[in-house]
Amino acid sequence: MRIIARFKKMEQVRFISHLDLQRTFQRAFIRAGLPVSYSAGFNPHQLLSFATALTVGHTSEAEWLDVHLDAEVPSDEFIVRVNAVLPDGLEIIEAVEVDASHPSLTAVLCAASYLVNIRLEEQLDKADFEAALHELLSAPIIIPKHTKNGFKDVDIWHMIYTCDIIEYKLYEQNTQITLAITGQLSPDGSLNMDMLMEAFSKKLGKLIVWDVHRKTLFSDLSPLMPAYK
Amino acid sequence: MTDKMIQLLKTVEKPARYTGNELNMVKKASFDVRFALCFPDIYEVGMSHLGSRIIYGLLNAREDTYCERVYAPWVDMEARMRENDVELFSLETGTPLRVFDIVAFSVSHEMGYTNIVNMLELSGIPVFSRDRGEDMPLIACGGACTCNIEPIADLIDIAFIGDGEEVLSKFMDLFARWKKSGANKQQLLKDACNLEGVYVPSFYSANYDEAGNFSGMTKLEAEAPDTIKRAIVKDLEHAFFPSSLIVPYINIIHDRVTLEIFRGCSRGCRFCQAGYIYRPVRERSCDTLVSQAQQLIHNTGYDEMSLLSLSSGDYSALSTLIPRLIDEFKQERVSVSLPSLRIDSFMKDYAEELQRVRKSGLTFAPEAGTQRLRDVINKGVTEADLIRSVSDAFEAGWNSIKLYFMIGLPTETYADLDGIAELAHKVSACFYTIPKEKRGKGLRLVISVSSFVPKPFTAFQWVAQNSMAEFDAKQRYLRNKLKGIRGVEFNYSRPNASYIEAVFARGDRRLASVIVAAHRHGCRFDSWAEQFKFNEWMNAFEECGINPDAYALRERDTGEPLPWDIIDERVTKNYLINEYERSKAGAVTPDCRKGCNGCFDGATYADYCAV
Repeated sequence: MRIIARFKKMEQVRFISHLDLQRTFQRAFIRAGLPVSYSAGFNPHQLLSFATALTVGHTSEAEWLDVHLDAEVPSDEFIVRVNAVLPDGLEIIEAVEVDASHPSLTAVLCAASYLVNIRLEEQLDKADFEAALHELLSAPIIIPKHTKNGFKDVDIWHMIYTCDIIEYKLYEQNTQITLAITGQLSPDGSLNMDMLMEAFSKKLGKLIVWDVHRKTLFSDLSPLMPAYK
Repeated sequence: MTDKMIQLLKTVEKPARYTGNELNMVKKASFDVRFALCFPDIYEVGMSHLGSRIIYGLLNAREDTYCERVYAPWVDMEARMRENDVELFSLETGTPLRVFDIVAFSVSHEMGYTNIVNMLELSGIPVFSRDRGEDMPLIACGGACTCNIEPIADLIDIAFIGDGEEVLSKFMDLFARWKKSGANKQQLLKDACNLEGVYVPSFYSANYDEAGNFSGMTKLEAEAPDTIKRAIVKDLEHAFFPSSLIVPYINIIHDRVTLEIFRGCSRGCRFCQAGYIYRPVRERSCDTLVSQAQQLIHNTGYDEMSLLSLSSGDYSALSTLIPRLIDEFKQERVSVSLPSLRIDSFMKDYAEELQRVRKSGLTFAPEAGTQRLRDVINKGVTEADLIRSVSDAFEAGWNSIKLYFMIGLPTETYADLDGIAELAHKVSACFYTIPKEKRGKGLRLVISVSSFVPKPFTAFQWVAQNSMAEFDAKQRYLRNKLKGIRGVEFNYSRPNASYIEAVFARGDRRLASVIVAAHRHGCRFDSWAEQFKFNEWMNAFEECGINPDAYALRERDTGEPLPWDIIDERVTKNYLINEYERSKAGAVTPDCRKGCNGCFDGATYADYCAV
């Protein structure tokens, strides 16, 4: 059978890489005693895949995995058994059994939404912040993209769908802002949040630090994830 | 974790080295004693060290103690920490080292000494014992290098020599009582120094003669023992072994369950320190090992297991253990790998079994290229054994083999180097004579040649090391001889690193100032090729007025006092002298499982050795 599950990757494990994460789940499944299916051949590996890799340092409540099992395990039992053996910071939130014919998760993604928490070590008026943000979003945003033959300039503007300030806190010594951003995340390309924030930092002309949290993954092709409008 | 730390971690390589929170990490709310278990290298190396995993489990099993891990920050993280005034902290709780009751370093090799200095300095702890007050933690050490920790004796308050399981438990009982009593550290050290295996360096002072050589130790504290006997756990079968392991997130060097099948070695290879200082041989039973394996696989989810010992092929119940382990874990697809196999005990039947589950390279250690030299070093392995073993391996499908050799062994001539090339040639020919359909695709034969470093407590502890120039010449010669042999790859160690290792292996207390000076000059992670700064080491020696040649290149007289004579590793000096003389005649000493060779002082230690 095949199970697709959504899980959280939170602060305690924000710095583990995608490969580390894969190994962590493989070992968790072994500890949980789940009948995971293995590939054939000389180097058998678990039939486990992920929708997309999360940037190291980011947190998320919208990570998805896809695993094949040799025997039936009801999806609610799957959740309980795996959560019992997962380390702190990882937790399965929902799981559903799917047909073998369901497409690969990576292929069906189209967009993602994020919450970005920005901090500045000084006071900044909301008006000034908004002005800089507006300026950034009114023009092409050129980012050097690392390719096989060196660097290529790409415009990531078209990958940004929405960008709203949902919280603005002004303190004596610092400012804290929360942005809600949605952008492209698909086989054809994905919005790189860290690069966007770096470009914004330059536009603002100030040193900022930020944390990124992925809120939702969207899909136009699978009923498992919300559709993006 | 503070915001500042999170942002800092985003700028370093592999931030998960510093964040902990792994599965099976111990979290404790109430305890009386804080113990910092420090390994002077990065996370990936420290986490692979079995001894540390055992100590971590042993101490945390105590209600009164919380043992936390500390590893050396990599150079990028160290730079960030210094820039931001961040002190070295533990993984479990982020507590600065200064706050701990005991800060203990695992000293498994000499090239970690500058990292120890760095870790103390990064914690605001004075490096020398004499500069630390009552408010500073007790600085301890344990591990293989404790057979001669004289180079860092002035930095350490207390050292644990030998097996840690029992002496550490006794010491912690003593420590907990002492802490409640409110007495000073001197009292603690006095109470502890008579526990078997405990060495308090400050209770002795080292003397040197006019020629500048070590001439003996003077005991300063009447209550201290004249020599320190290595602690030996007699009953390994029932000794503590952790039933759970921390499962790292990132890739570590040995990322699997490791079962220690026995401690000690009966072969008596004359260059091998471990073979002498872990005697006698003490085995764990099959039943115990299988049960330990079950618990560990169940608690970790690891899919790979390895058997650890100095000579796994010598384990008496090997033909029972391996099939049992393979069968037991077939379902979970756990592969069983065997490091450190001796050629003459590698059995063809097992090779097939092991290969069925997972295939990886095999390692053999002939160590010397000719039978003559192998007899000198007492590595009782013949060319016929080697060829038979590799043929069996090749026929079973292996095509990746690593052969370990050393150059610079006593009595070595260039004819012995020719022998290495001849063996490589024969092994290669062996592979290629097997018909193509029966053998693997292409041969990968790695000839790994290290530079011999004479070690304390071996039959060769009096021998002069080859000079760096000699090593360079020999390596060039070998490289030439190995050219053109099909499938061969030549690896060799850096002579300048082996030279520094040799200085510290047989060093005395005067070297402490050199370590501190080298650290000040930027030396860290000396066992890492890209970090090793030979020139700075040489500057440090000069600055301190010390001639390193006197330690590495001087042949010693068997009658002269040695700085490590203060430690009694149980194998007697007379036995080592005898072995040294026998080596000069090329006389082989047989495996002591076949009959006792009298390496311990029979009368005193008769009850330790089952043989």
